[in-house]
Amino acid sequence: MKDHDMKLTPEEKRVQEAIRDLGVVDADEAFRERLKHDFMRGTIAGRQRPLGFRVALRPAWQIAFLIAVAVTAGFLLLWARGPSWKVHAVLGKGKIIVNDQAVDSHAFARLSELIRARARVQVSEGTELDLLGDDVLLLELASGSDVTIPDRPRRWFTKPLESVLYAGEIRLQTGPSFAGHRLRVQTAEGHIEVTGTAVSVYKGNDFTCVCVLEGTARIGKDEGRMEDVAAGLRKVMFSGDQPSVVTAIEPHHEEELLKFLNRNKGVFD
Amino acid sequence: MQGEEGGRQGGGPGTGSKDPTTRTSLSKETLEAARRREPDALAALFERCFGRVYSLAYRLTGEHATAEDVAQDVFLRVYNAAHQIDPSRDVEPWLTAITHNACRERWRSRGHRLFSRSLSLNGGGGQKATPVNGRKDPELATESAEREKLVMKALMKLPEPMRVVVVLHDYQGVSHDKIARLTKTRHSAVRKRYSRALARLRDELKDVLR
Repeated sequence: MKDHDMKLTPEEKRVQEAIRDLGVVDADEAFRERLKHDFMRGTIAGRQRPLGFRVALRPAWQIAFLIAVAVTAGFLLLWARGPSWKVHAVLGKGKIIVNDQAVDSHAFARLSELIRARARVQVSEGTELDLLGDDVLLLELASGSDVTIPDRPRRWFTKPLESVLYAGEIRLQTGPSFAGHRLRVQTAEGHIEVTGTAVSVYKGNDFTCVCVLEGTARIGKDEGRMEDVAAGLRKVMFSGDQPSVVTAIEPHHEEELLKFLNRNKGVFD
Repeated sequence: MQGEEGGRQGGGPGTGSKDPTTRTSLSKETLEAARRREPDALAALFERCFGRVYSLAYRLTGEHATAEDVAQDVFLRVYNAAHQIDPSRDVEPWLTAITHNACRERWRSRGHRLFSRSLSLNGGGGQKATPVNGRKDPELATESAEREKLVMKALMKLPEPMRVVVVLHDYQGVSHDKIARLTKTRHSAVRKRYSRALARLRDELKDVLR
């Protein structure tokens, strides 16, 4: 819609005219000449009346109080962010790509630097990567996986942690401090919501298979069709209209999950 | 940078008048020289733009002292960013954007609020606005000045976001679309503000604009 499409009353049109009729404003001639002179020579001074004398007007105790509040808020925010992700173990030799930066799997220090919440990580064939979010979550990125790392779990805010699995398989185990949190893993075929459990999620070409080894996970194609899947079961969701299937846990996935748990036994102790 | 921040549809302060400060545009050569900060070119740029910058600053802030500060800020910024002038584009939208930003910074500072309060107690002091449509008759000129004073008073009663929209649109001739870009606001919000501003001004000036 153009400006002239506005329907104005005759009174409003008169207002418009009155503003349009406002003339050029004369500046003080001496000021104008001085400014022109300074502009030509590049010698214009900064502001005559400083914008920010807000702080200068405050008494010292107010400034000290504001600094104390800011420092406390900073600490609280840092504390509330919760644990960060650490590289716990790397198995096999290959490349790990973190946000498009390829790193050798044995470059542990570099990997630790790069891996952050929401980073996209691709693990090459023959390599596995275990990440530990303190005593909150243990996450294994299996060979060939492509996944975004969940946000740091926050201590006060229970917004679900989000992760996207694009390809391959992840295995995860929640730790003692996970209580009260939710982790949502998203794939092209559906959502998996974890509230305390050990599961693996495998993303195939046109399906997602979720195996639940411990606890219960809520799994569904969308928010409206989530269902609880208990330990010992798996749910397979397909792309398209093919209905999801819940059956006994897939033996190979169970075996890999058990290996993962055994390998990391005591990690949360 | 230049030309991306604002825009002008034409006209000048105000768009219903012939403004001597906007009668000719600067040549490419002058703008090239201004890029190199050559004094003569800067003088030409100043002559061409000062009236527009100062008038806009005054119409937005309602105070000569603040308009002077804003003009000083604007020309300081222009000098510092002269190398970014694009000779193929009109510099005025850029200057409008800088002027608007400088006014906004003033409004945001508590210092300005305290200062403007003390100024308004002193009557805002300073020079007067000159109607540019060449009224010679003293009676008409007095009437016009009185009317302008009331219009300005009504403008100053508007909240700043509304005033910006109405001044830029009707006084500077900037389209709503470009105001939206300049103020980083949605086009629909600009139109709404403009419409509300006109309604308020209509009520405020109902006895004046009969």
